[in-house]
Amino acid sequence: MNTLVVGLGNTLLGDEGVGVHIVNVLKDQPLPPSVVLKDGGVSGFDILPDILESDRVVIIDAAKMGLVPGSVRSFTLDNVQMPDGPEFSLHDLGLPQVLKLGSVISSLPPMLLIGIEPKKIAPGASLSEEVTGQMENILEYVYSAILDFTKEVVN
Amino acid sequence: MPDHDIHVHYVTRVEGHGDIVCKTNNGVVEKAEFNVVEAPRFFEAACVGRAHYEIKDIVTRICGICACGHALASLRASEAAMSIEPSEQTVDLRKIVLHGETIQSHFLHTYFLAAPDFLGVGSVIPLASSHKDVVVRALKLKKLGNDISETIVGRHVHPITLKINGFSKLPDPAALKAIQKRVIEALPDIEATVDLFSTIKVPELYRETEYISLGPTNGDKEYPFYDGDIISSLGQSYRPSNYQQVCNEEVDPKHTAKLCKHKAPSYQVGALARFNNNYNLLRPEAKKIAEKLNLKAPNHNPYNITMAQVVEAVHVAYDLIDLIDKVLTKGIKEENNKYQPKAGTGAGAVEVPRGILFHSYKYDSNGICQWADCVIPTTQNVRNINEDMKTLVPTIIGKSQEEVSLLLQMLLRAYDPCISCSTHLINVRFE
Repeated sequence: MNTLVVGLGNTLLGDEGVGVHIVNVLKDQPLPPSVVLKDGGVSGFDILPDILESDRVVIIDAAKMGLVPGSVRSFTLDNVQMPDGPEFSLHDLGLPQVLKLGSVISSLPPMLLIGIEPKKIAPGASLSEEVTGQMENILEYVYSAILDFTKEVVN
Repeated sequence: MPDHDIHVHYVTRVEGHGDIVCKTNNGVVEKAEFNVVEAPRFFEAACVGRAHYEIKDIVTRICGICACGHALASLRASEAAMSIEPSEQTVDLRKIVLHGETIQSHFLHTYFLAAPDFLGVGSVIPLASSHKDVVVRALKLKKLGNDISETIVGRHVHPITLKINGFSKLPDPAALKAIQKRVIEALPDIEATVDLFSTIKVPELYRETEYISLGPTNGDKEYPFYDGDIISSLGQSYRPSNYQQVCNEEVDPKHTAKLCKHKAPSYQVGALARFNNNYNLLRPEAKKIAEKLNLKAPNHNPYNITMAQVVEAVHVAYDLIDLIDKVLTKGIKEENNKYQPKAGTGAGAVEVPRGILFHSYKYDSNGICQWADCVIPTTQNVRNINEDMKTLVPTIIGKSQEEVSLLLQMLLRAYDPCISCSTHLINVRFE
């Protein structure tokens, strides 16, 4: 069994890169043995082979959910409705299109999507004060969500 | 005869934003053009005032597909400016990473951007339904290219370890050996790619143009991607430091990209330009594939850029196996890559997947960048694409609007344009 934990986002666009920041912090944490961490960056398309080769996948990304910035929620594919994206274009290829392509090729593995409400999506390599201020809670949430999802214990 | 009034706003399956406009009146072509409308991104200005060791990390962000190509053109320019000669080991490892990127990008274009047109589907998602094996193979090949990059430079895009005069961390020989094994294992998939493309008939268009690419320096026998002189199919040759005499960039208010021109009214760069200029230097395995695809040099049909990419992918795959052998046989050694920054101006020319790329910088004696210039392949192709469209439309004017629109989009996509990379600031002067 392997569990792919992938952080998505552009670290040059403030909170847009929060998923990547979190994966980078997780690298220094004790994690369940099955977990493989990946910085998915902005090339969503390139993570598809890794998703299809994994037994379970956790995706961490900024998500506009209409909540207070720094809030964190998790979803499974059954309880989110993926929007119909634009026609395939490298420029705009987002997670919904990647997952759609994946589901046409093969059946997707069980997935957990973790969304973090952003405050600032604008040029800059740092996270907003609001998201930084909630980082401890976010990490705790993400960490427990991974443990719940994998049902593994950390050695 | 039907008249056409086509405006394709933001053509899909290309990188960035570009429009196609075509208008005919009583069978006469009034307009057939491609306009770059992507917002400018100011990378050259962002380099000014930054230190020599930061420049590569800034410019590599110009592109998410040919990030290593931008990094290498940048390093070559900085090294030329400071009279630094990197070691043979550094050059060989750089060639490996550039080949990895060419594999990644060529398979992305041939399969995901161009193939849906040839196989009669709108995009890769229906392609995955009708030709699942094709998409699975394509994903595998693209991933191989990304993994080569990750092995050598620490990240699948936006290289980390590439530095002026060497590497901040050398690749692990065992990982390099494992990558070589994967390239060898991928050969049947590459062969299947050739089989697929040998069944495809590209649309017809014949227009002789000028082809510009790197060419061998001093009788070098290598199909040049990483170094060489700049050559034109019309016979001229230049050192990379004279790149401005080749591209002669100028601003056109219709485009956010500049336009280029050498001897002919327009010129072409990219896989077909390289193929036409350097056919004799291709490996025998790639020449055999060119024959199978019925591609002979010189070829004057721009739709064949995609076919030339298939030929190059074969060349690069075999070359990768040999290059990795060379590096591993010699053994990867830690080297002294220290250097002293100094004042100077230098240019680097590298063949990236979409064609020849120029970077040039001026540094002061502290190694602070005073001036930067990046001339991207798509910028160089814009005028040629427009000339092709003007030649194409009268030959297809009797077709339906949908067919004309599709053929124009396919022509644009054949160039594999990277429009985001090509944009420049237009200086506005109020008088």
